[in-house]
Parts: sequence; structure tokens; C-alpha cells
Amino acid sequence: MGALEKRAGRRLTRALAVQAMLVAVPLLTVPTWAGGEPALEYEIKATFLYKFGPFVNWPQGDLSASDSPFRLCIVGDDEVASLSSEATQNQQVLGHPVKIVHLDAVTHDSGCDELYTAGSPAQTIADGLAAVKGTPTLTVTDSEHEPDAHGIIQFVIDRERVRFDVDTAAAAANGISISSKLLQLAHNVSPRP
Amino acid sequence: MSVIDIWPAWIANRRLIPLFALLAAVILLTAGVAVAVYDEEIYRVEKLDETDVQAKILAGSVAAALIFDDRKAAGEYVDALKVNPEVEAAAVYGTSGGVFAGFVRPGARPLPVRARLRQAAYAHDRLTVTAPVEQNGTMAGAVYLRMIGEPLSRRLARYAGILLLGIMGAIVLTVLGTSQAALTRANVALASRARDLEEANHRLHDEMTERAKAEEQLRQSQKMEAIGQLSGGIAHDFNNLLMIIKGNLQLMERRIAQGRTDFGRYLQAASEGLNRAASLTQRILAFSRRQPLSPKPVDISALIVEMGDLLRNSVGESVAIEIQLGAKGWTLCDANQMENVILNLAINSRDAMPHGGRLTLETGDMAVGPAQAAAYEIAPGDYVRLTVTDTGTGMSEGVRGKAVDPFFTTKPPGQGTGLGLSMTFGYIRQSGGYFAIESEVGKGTTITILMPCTDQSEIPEKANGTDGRV
Repeated sequence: MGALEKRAGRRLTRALAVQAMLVAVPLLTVPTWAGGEPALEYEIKATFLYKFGPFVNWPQGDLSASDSPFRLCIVGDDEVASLSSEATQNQQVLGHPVKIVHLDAVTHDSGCDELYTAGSPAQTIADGLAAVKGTPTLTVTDSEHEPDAHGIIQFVIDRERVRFDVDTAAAAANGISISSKLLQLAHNVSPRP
Repeated sequence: MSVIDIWPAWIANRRLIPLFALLAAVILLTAGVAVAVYDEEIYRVEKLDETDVQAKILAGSVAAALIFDDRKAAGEYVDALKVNPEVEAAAVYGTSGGVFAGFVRPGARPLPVRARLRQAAYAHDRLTVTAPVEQNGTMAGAVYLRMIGEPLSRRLARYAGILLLGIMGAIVLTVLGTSQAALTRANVALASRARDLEEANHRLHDEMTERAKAEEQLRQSQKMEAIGQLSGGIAHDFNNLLMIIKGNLQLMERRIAQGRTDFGRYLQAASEGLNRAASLTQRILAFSRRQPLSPKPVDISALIVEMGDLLRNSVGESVAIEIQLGAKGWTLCDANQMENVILNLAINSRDAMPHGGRLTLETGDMAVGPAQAAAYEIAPGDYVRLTVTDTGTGMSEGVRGKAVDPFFTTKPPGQGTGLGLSMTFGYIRQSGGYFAIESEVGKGTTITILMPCTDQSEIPEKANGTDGRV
């Protein structure tokens, strides 16, 4: 009797999990925010920068040393860039302390684990993204800046809420993958799986 | 004594069977309870594992929503659990500790204000499980899940089947054991009674054998005694007759020697003695050879008239004979035998009157009605009555009762055979007649004989003559 119930229970549990996903995926209302205040919008975006970390799979060997910091490179000088240091203070990604690295221009050898670029006088967003292409770097851009140049993750505003699009092809080009859990929260995933 | 053996041979003492049955029943019940308890424990452990897994799945799926502060998505994940009626409350807590998303069923205890990771535990029939929400080492919060345990009534219902089976088994065992014991007791009692009966039967058989042996011996000794009495009596009677003959012959011889011729009286007496001797011999022959009767119509009155001289000679001079003959009917019988009967009765009367008296022979016709016939054990109809009455010593009631028994006699040895009345009684009954003795000690005895009348047509023509005998 017990065993039967257990099996039935497991079936139910599985069914629930599947159902939960089925219900959740199409809705994918991402969250958060914030309401009409621009300052809060940027704070949220700055916070998201380190929150993406746990949902990204970097290739083996990267971030292997426990004491090596998680390098979050910032190019540009927008509100998000200016708030990033404060937002990531005392935060960790995958057990590594987050280190903000402000750069005028990023190169192939900058050693960034994540890059947020708002574009700088020295380097356009597109150039920055091109510079790190092929390196295991999670690139994040904001649709406010250059609509055509977007990173693996791009912030968008949907019904006054901060949300993000995910480009899994770009992630694959950089040798990293994005957790499906994050994809479930994404505003738009391209290319469509 | 064989008992249907459902118990192992080692249960030698059958009195212990109910005890064993009870023991087995108790073991069965205990086993049933143990199985139920074990099953319950297994159920709880499995329920705990299952809930834990459910909490972990929720924690895993809700991580992104929690980290990116998406309450709506988190709420949808949590609400999906509402489908399961056993989930009483479910919630996701953020790192700050407050409820991020969750629900509580109406009427249930509210959600805890803060999340606190702790061991899964049962309390008040509720199972509470918590699980951390983390993503690649990043703690994001906790999941809280409270399950309603299966109600006690349903759990009991689940085990009621097992328990019922156990109880039924126990009852069956107990009843079986008890009835087996009762059967055994009954069998033992039966066996004992059968043994007793067998012994009683043996005893009875032995007693019967001994009794038959004793009866055989008694019969033998009675026979020997009878033969002794008979031969003694015959010898005595015969001797008397011989003495009469011898005496008369001696007297005759003396008269002849004296040249006298008046010895006719002696000659007649001797001749009579010879006749009586011949008659005696005849009777013995009749008795011993069981001569068949040759019944013919007989006029008893005429027969008595004919026997007048014989009767007078037989009873002697001290006894007066009175004859009253009123019978008109004839009866069908053996004349010789009837003559013997009358003579026998007359001699008996004479013996009862040693100092003289009166002997009355009386005949008459008599109609016997159905009631009287039934009492007399004869057929209703017309009868010829013959009564022989004397004024002798009479008989006591005891003697009267045995008077017709064979070989019973009150006469001294050598004088009576004890066969007279017995033969008379036998003959009368055999002829369909009635025989009765009335007697009073000191006053005398009356013998009454009823003989059935024969049809008038069978009476010969010439029978109306004085001769009467055919």
C-alpha cells in the first residue's frame, strides 16, 4: 500500500513539476520592478548584473581557483555602470567575490567573466561585443543604447517592468550556456528553442 | 477412538488444544498489529521522502523567480501545488526571511512569518518540510511545505482489513480449538461409556450363560426328582394293587383248601385289582407316549353314570357320593381321557377326606357370554358344566396356585405323582374348555370344568340310549 502510494505520489510530483513549467513558461512575465522611477530601474538593472551569474554555465577551468574574483567588466558611463559598484558590493557569484572592472574599451584578453557595455567614446557597443566574441564572457547590453547591438542578455522594459531578452546563439558562440530557469524568466529568447 | 487429527502429533495433551488455539490467535493478532504498525512507519517515512522531494523540486524551479524578484512566477509555481489536496500550506521565502509567495488552505494555521530551515517533522498530524533555494551556491531563500497527514480514520480503514482478517483468523482458530477440545472430551466420554457398556454386556452374557447352566441343572434335577416321584408313586400304587390281588388270591386259596366255593367276592376283588393295575399301566403309557386324543361326542352325564361303580370303589365306603346330572348337551372329547379326569378328581377328593365326607358330582348346561368368555379365555357359546365338590381339608391359597403345576403334590411320597391335576388342566385347555379350582382350608374344594357343547348334528342317533358312549 505504502509503496503504491509512494509511486502515485512520485507520479503526482512529476506531474506537478511539468504542470508548473507548462503554466510558467508561456506566461514568463518577468518581474520586477519598480514603477515609474528611473533611478529604481537602473538599480534593478545593476543588481541583475550579478544575479545572472548563477544561471550561467562557464566552461570547465574558468573560475577554477576559489580565490580568483568574478570579473564584471563595465564599459561606458551610463546609470547602470555608475550604480554597479554599489549594487554588487559584498556579492558573490558561484562562490567568487565580484570584482568590478571599469574599462574604456574591452579586448579579447581583458579576462572578463561578464561584460556590461553601454558603449564608450573609445569603443562602441558593437565593437566591444565583437572584441570578446569567442571568449567565455556573458555579455549584457541595454536596449536603450544601440537597438541593433545586443549582447547575450539585453535589458528591455516591458509594461514598465525591467525584463531581459536572451540570445542563446550568442551564448553558444562565446562557449557558455544559460540555464533554462533563466530562460523561463526571459522576455524573449532568440533563437526560439 | 479416532479423532480427526488437525493438530500436530507433538500436541500430546489434547486438553491444551484450546490454549494453543488461543496462543495462535494472540500471535496472529499481534502479527497483524505489528504489520499495521510497520506499514504505518513505512508510510510515514515514504511520505516524508516524497514531501522532501516535492519541496526540493519547488525550490529548484522557483530559484530564478526568487532571485529576479518575480513574485508572479513564484506564485504560479507555488500555486501549482494546490492541485495536491494533501498540501495544506506552501510558501517561498526570500533571503530577507519574509514570505515571497505562498498560500494557506482556509482554516489552516497561518504561514510562519520567517523561514527557518529545519529537519522535516511530524506535528499534530501535519508534516512540515523546508528546503533551501539556491542556485549554483547562491542562497536565494527557502521553501516551506506543510502536508496534511492521511486522516486517522482513513489510515485505520486501511489497516482495518488486515486487523479484521487477523481477528477472523483468531476467532476461527479459537472456535476450532474449542470445538476440537469439546469433541475430544465427548469422544473420551463416549469411549468410556462404550467400554462400560461392553463390560456390562460381557457380565450379562456371563450371567446368562451361568443362568442357563443353572437352569439346565435345575431342570435335570427336577426331571430326576420327577422320575423318582413318578417311579416311587407307581411302585407304591402298583404294590398296593399287587397286595390286594395277592390278599384276595390267598383268601381264595384258603377257601378252596377248605373246600368252600364262596370265593366269588375275592375273585372279583382280585380281578378288579388287576383292572386297576392295567388302567394304571395304561395311564402311564398315555402319559409317556403322549397318545393322540381321539375326540368324539360324549355325554358326560352318561359317562358319570357308567363310572358309578368305579367311583364308589375308588373313593371307598367312608365317602358318600352324590350325583346330580342336569346336563343335556354333549361335548366333543376323548371319552377315556374324560373318564380319567373324573376318576382323578374323585381320587383327589377322597385323599382330601381321610376321615370321610361327601363327594358331589354335578353336571349342567351353561351359556357363556362374551365378557365371561374373555375372562375365562375361552370362546363364547354353549358349554357343559361339571363340578366336583368335596367336604375335605381344602387347600391354602399357595397350594391352590400351584395345584396344576406338573409334579406338584401334597401327598406323601409314593402316594401321588403330581401329574393328575396337571394332566387334567392340560387336557381341558387343549379341548377348548375351562378349568377352575375354588377351595377353602377346612371346608372343601370345588373343581369346575366347562367343556364346549358339540353340534347337535354330530350326536349319533342311538346316543339317546342309556349307554351313551360311542
